[in-house]
Amino acid sequence: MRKAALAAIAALLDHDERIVFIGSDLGAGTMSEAATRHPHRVLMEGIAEQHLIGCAAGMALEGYVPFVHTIGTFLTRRALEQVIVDVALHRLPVRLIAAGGGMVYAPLGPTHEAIDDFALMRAIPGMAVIAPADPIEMHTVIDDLATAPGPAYVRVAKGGEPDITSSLSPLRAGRPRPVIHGGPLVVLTTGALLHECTSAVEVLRAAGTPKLSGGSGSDDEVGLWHLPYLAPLEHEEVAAILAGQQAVLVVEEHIPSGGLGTIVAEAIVTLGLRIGFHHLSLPHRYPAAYGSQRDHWAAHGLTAEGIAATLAAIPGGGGRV
Amino acid sequence: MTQHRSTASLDDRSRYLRQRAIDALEGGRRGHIGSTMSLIEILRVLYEDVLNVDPSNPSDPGRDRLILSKGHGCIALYVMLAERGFFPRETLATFCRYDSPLGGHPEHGHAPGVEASTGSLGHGLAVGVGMALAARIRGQGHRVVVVLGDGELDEGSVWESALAAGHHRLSHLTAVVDCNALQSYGPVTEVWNLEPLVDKWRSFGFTALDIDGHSLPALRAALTSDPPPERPRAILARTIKGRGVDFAENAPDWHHKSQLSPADIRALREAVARA
Repeated sequence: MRKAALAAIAALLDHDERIVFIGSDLGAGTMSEAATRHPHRVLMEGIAEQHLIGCAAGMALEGYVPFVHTIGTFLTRRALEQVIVDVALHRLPVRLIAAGGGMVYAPLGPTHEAIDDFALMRAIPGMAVIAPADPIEMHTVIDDLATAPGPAYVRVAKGGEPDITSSLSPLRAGRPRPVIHGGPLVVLTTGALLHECTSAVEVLRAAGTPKLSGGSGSDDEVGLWHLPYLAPLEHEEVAAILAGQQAVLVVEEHIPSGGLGTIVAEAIVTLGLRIGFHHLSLPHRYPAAYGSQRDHWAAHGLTAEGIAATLAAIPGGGGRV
Repeated sequence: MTQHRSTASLDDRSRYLRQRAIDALEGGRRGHIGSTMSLIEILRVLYEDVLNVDPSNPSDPGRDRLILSKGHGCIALYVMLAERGFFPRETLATFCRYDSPLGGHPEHGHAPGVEASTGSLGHGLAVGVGMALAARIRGQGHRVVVVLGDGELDEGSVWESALAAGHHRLSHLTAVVDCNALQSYGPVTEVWNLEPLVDKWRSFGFTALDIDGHSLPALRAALTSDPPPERPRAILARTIKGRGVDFAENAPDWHHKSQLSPADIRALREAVARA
């Protein structure tokens, strides 16, 4: 997915003179071809995230659209005040392209694990918060960010994700995407876990009936939506998904607070919806283990098998109503 | 850096500008008095002798840019913007009111002529570097001037940006440091000694000048001279915090005041009148 992001940015650089790429001491050779073609608009800067965000804001004040790329935690944590004051307060079109979303950097430890990025970025008024699920979505998102107003944060997943969104309806900013139509139980997810959620529903179908205790046993009793945009995301968009459903399961690679689960819960409470709410997420603590991203998904029920097990245990598709 | 008290008297224009600053202090009954007064001559020379800005065309791509990175000195900036016609002088008296364009720190989009919002220290130089890089891409030759405080130089982000400016050889970028030698708690030398400050800037790839920040000829000479090619410029303007208000000069208590009384305002005006 990172390759897709960088390729899309390189293509934008070729066709739009307002586009600037700013990297913070990235891997040797990163964007080198684009730098050859656009030496003044591809900047490989030092390890100085606070400066880079301010610098990007300065360029954006002059009409440029900077794409700033480095590890996600350094953008969201190290440079948080610059993101808020220099970028968001000025409502500038600076794009934060965050490598290592979620637990991608699990072997590197908690300094590199972007498990709170949605919460930090969602707290910023006007900030678009986007988690593409596959390279196709990433390409579309990057293209859209050439012209979209205001700042944006893009969570980049590990890479190697299969293309799973090509058959969906067109991606539009701020709009959820239906993946599997169904109910009375609906799954909402964002980013790389869409693939796991899709597989979970397939696992349930393959297991035969009864898939949901108390459910009808029909293939369409679990719906699945992808929400690549956590912001902007109106409560009414969530309500439209939940209409007629008995229960919702939110699945996300993030701490329990401040991400998609919080958004859905806010919508339910704010609009007075009567629906059972279930949430699979990372725990609210800094990971104490290393291993792989998938190890952590498995530990917290975020693999296809874990998600399927949670779904199957939700009584009647709406046990908390 | 040593603190000193003023000896030379101010000229009529500098006294007049300080009275306009007191208009804002009176209207808001508050403000950063020390930094406002130390900045007056720096911003006077910039806005009256150096910067190419036009209030009738504030978005002119060829205009010079000024960022007040030490945003708490904003009253001095507001005075100069009013004098240049970006907004009426009467607006100064609305300082910090609910519906005023003039807040306790300057905001882009609120106060006409303010190029970037500042307040939290250590942000302005990075934004200025970005502006200077943008000008380089477009082949523009306008100036980008960032005005910082000496206490602000405690922020590590300033030095990140200084490294970047030196590396990119941004010759159209000028950092002016209002070295008033006093930060909120006390003397800069006692909080965190910054010296040798000229050497620090030079070691980051800047040309650096050390001048009297209340001397109009010295400021004009430093700010209008051509920098050596391919180097950004740092001007260390040695000033007196509270300059022009004898009882506030070098007095940490006068860094910021709120609930200024009519008697306080009268005392400020009388002090400036005799400065």
